[in-house]
Amino acid sequence: MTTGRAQPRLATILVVAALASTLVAIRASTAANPEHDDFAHDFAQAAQAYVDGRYDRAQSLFEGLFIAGCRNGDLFFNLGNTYYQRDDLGEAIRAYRRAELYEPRDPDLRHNLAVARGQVAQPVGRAGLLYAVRSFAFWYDLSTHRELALASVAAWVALCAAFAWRYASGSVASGAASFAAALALALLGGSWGAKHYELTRVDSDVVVNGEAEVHAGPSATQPVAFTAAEGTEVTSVASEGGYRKIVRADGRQGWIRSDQLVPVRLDQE
Amino acid sequence: MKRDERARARWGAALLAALVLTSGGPALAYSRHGHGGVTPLGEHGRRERAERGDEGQPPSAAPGGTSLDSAGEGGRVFLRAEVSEHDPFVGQQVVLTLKLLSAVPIYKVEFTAPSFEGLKQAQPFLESDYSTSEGGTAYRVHEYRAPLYVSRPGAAQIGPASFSCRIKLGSGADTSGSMFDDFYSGRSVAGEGRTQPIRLDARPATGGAGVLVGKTEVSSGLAPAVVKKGQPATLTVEVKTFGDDDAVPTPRLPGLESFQIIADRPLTEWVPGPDGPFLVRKVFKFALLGKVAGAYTIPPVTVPYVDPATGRPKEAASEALTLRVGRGLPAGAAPGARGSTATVDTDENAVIRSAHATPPSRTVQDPLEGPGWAGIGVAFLAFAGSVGSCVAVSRARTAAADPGSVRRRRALRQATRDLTELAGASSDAPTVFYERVGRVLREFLGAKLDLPIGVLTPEEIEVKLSANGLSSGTPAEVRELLAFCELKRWSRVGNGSSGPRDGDQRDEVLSRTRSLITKLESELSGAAREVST
Repeated sequence: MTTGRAQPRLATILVVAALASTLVAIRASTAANPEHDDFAHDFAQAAQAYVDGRYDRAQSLFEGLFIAGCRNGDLFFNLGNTYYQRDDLGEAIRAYRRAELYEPRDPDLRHNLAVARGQVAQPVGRAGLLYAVRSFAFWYDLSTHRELALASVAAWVALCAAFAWRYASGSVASGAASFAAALALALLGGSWGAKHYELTRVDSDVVVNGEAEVHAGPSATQPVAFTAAEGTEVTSVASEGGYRKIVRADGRQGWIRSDQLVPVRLDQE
Repeated sequence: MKRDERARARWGAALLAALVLTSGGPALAYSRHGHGGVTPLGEHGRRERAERGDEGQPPSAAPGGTSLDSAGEGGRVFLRAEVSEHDPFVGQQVVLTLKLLSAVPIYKVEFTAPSFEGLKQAQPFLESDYSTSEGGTAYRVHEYRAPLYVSRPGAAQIGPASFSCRIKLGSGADTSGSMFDDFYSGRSVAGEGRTQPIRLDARPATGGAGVLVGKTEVSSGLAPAVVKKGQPATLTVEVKTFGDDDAVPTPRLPGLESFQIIADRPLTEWVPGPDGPFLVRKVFKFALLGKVAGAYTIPPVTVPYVDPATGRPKEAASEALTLRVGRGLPAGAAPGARGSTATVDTDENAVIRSAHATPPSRTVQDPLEGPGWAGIGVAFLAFAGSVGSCVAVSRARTAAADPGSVRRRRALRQATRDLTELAGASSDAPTVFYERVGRVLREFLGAKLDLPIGVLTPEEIEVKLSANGLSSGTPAEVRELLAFCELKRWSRVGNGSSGPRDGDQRDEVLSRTRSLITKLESELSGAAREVST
C-alpha cells in the first residue's frame, strides 16, 4: 500500500520542482529592469538624433547608453551606423560585430556589415582550415551563444528520448534517431563550446584611426611587414611593450601599435 | 532689325510699283480692288437678305452664323463665335472659337481680336484653316481659338471680333482690271463683319479664388534614384491640367529635411486639343542634394483641384518615390582599391540601412547567455526521464519473463514492513501475534522460493531450504521458529492479555525473525528459480 503511494509522490515533487524552476527562470529573464525605461528613453532620443542627421549627438547618446550598461543588438547596430556616417569605419565594423553577438541573422545588420567591410581599402581574403570549418558549420555564425546552448539542450533531450526509445523498442528507426540525435548533440554542443571559447578567449580586434603599419617586431624600429587598412579585422595573439601581435584573416602576422586596435569582445572594453 | 526689314519691304514695293506703272493701269486696279468700296457687310448682308425675304434668318448653308455678305455672293461667307461653357466656374477654362466660313474663295482675311470683360486670355489665338461641309455645301473655315479663364464670379462678356477679307465674286466678271485680276481670277469685293458679343455667367468655385479648376493629373520621376552624398538627384513633377496654369501650386516636398532642395523655374506648355480644351502641362524640377546617407521615401506630390463636372474639390497625387543616398568614399580610400566584393561596389549596395529606432524589449543582454536554469532543468529531467523509462522497461521485461520476480524482489521489504507493524501492535493477543509472525516468515519464504509454502509443514520447509543449498543451521532455525510460533499460537497462556514477560518474549521473537529473514535474503538470493523447478 505505502509502496505504491511513495512513487507518485516523488514524481510529483520532481515535476513541480521542474515547473517551478522553469517559471523562476522565465520570470528572471523577463523581469522588469528598473533601468529599462531610462535606457529606452535615451535610446529613442539617440535614434531620433541619428534620423535628424545629428550624428555627433547620436554618437554621444549611444555611447552613454553603452557606458551605463545597456547591451543589446539594436544599440550596437545604431552605434555602428553612427560611426559609419561619421566616417569612422573601424569603429563601425567593431560595433556591427558586437551587434552580431546578439542578432547575427538580422538582415539590416548583415547588409550594413557587408557594406562597411566593402569600404575597407585593402580587402583581405579569408584563408585556413578554421574558415573552411566555419563555412561548413554555417549555423555557427548565424547563431548566438544562447541559441547554440538551447539547441544543445534540445539535442540532449532528443538524445535521451531516442535512447529510451531505442532501449524500449530496439527498432532500426530508433537506432537511426539515436544516431542523429547524438550527431546533432555533437555538432551543436561543439559549436556552443567553440562559440564560448571564441567569446571568452579569442582576442578579436579591428584596426582604427586610419591605415596602420604592421611591423616585423614589437617596435617602431622594426621593418614594416605590411600595412593594415582601417577596418581590417584581426586576431591578437600576443602583447609586448605597447605593441600587439596580430594575425590577419589571410594568415599574415605582425606587430601593430595597441592604440590602433579596438577589441570586439565586450569584456575587454 | 524689324525696322530694316520694313524699309527693305517698302523699297521692294516701290520698285514693284514703278514696274507696274510702266505697264499702265494697275494703279487704278489696285485702288479699286484694294481699298475702294469697302462695305459694312453686316448691313449689306442684311439688306440683301431683306431683298431675298429672309432677313433675321440665318443662311441655310451655315446656320447660326453672321453673314459677311457681298454683292452677288450673299449668304456664302459667315462668321461664327462659340464658347465651350456658358456658365463656367471661376478659374475654369472656356475655349473661345471664332470661325470664318466661306463657300467662295476669300483672301486677305484680317481678324481683330475681341475685348474681354471678367475674363483672362491665357494664350494668343491659335489660327487654323481647314475645310468642312455643312448642309451639303463645302466651306473653307478660318478658325481662331483661344483659352480663356473667368476671373471673377458673375457676368462676363466676350466682345465682338472683327473680320475683314476680300471675297471673290466670279471669274471673268471684270476684265478691266490689272494684271493682278488674272491672279485673283476675277472680280472681288471687300467683306467685313463682326461677331455677336457673348455673355457668360460665372459661378464661384469651391475653395475660393485662385483655386485650380479643371481635371488634373500629377506624375513624378527621379533621376537617378541612387546618388552619393552631395550628388544631386533631379525630381521632376509634371502637372497636367485643364485649369489655369497660374493656379497650379508649387509642389510641397515634406519630410526631406535631410536634403538641400534647389527648385528650378517651372516650364509651362500649352497643348491644344483637336476640338476640346487646351491642356496645360507644367513641369517643376527640383535638385535634391542628400546631406545624410540613407534610404528616403519622397512622399506623393499632391495637387488639389476642383472638378468642374461635379463642382467638388479633388486631389491629384503622384506615386511615392525612393531615393537612396550613399555615403561618399571613405577618407584616404582610393576608388580603385575599394571593395573586395563586387556587389558592394554598386551604388545600390553602398547604402547602409537606417537605424533601428524602436528600443528593444530587453535593453541589457549578455552575449554569453547560456540555456538558463530552465534549460538545465529540462536537460536533467530528460536524462532522469530517460533513465527512469529504461528502468521501467527493464522491469517490465523481467516481470514478463519471470512473473515471480517482482514478488521475490519485494519480499524482504514487505516482511520488514510487516514486522515493524507487528512491533507497534503490542495490544494483539499472543495467539494473533505469533500467528502473524509465522505468517510473515512463511510469506517471505513463499515469495523467495516461489512455492505454496502456506500448506507446507515446518519439516517440509526445512527440507526445501536444505535442497536449495542453504547452510545446515538456517533451515533448522527456520523450522524451530515456525514450530515455536505454532506452539505459542495454540497455547493457553495469557488468555488475550500481555504481561511484561510476554512483551520481552515478543521482542525476542521479532528480533530473531528479522535476523533470520535477513540471513535468508542473502542466502536465497537467486535461488527461487532452482527451487521452483
